[in-house]
Amino acid sequence: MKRYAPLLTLTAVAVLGFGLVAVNMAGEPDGTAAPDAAAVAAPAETTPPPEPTQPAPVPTAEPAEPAAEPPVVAEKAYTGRSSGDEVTVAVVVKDGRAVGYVCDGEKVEAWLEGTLEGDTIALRSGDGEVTVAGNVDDAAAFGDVAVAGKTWPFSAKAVEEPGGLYEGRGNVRGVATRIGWIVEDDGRVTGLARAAGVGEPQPAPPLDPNAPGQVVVEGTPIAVTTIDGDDTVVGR
Amino acid sequence: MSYTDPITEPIRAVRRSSGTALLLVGVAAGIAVSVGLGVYGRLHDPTGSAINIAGFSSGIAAKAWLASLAFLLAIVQLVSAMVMYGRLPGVSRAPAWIGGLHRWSGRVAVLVTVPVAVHCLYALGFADYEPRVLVHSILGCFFYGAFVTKMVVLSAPRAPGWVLPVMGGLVFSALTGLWLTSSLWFFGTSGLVF
Repeated sequence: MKRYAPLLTLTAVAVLGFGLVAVNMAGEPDGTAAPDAAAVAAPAETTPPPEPTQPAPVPTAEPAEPAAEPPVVAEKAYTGRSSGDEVTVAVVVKDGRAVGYVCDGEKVEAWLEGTLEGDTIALRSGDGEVTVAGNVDDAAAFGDVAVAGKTWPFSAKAVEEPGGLYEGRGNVRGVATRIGWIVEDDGRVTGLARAAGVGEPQPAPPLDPNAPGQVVVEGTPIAVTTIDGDDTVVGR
Repeated sequence: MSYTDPITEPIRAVRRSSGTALLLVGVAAGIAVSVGLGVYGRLHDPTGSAINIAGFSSGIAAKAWLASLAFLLAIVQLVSAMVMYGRLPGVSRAPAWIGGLHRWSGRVAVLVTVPVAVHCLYALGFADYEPRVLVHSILGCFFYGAFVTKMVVLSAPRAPGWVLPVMGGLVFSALTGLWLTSSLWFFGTSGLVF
């Protein structure tokens, strides 16, 4: 009996570890999504396996689009809102790549990546819960934004700096914190902050787009960068 | 203590070889656990959140304090092991209760680290965005591998005598490095918050 005591210790550690992981996994789905809404959505929406790099086809994208069509705009930033003002949407494109951020300033925020082929954009978040699909031209982007099974049409204007998409990073009280801000062409700023290890996003500190280097949270300076279409924003 | 009884010697030889075999099994299991944790931490999508454990201001503070408790118990481990091996100056004979103290402080220490490690792995994953984080990630995987090896070796009484102190030293060093790269760093940047 005494000889196997270390193995019992080992077993206890393993049981506790797997138990905690199981509790975490069981508690995960109701953390972010609204399951009832997700159930009536398109089948592709129901929690696909995470594919960090390869954007999955978005349900609303036109199916028969020939691949690798040259993008109609080389580099552009679009900001706008869904039709009922549910969420603010930013999409920035560069050389056929697209990066997006969807945020309601209260609870919903997600970073997205995807492509621009021809005039068609298709973006999704790392967990697939948030997608943006639509068309762009020199002046605007139109399409649909889907958040956890709900889909709204959106329109976004092409904007010049200081309008656009900004990301802030810093270690606030020792906790890695990431902030996203969308600056629209009328100067409205929508953003949320997310701290590592904290489930719910928190209000973002104010961003002055003309002086982005001056954001400070609880004494910690935040490094703010303008996000381009070729930046990596998902899975890091 | 060397004798060769023609009748019992074969049994002793078998038992000795089973000790070595168990040692190899232990090392292999430890490597598998370390690599497995690292691969899991690297490949799965960090959720960014996990259930909170206790009544602290934040999950991070709870982790820092649990890890500090584990580190404190690890120092108990080091001292009690030195006493058991007669290496603590001024203590020539180990008291009878020192083995129990060593076993139970070790059990509590490693159990206390489990919620911390689960949170790290599940919510944050194996990361390398700065040297401290990379060192912490590597040590975290190494710690549980070394722990598994040590537990297996403990149940192999015929393993070479140097193995146990070496494994114990590795476990202790890994935990110390983990504590330095997380709790101490956290308290240094945020102050002693609960």
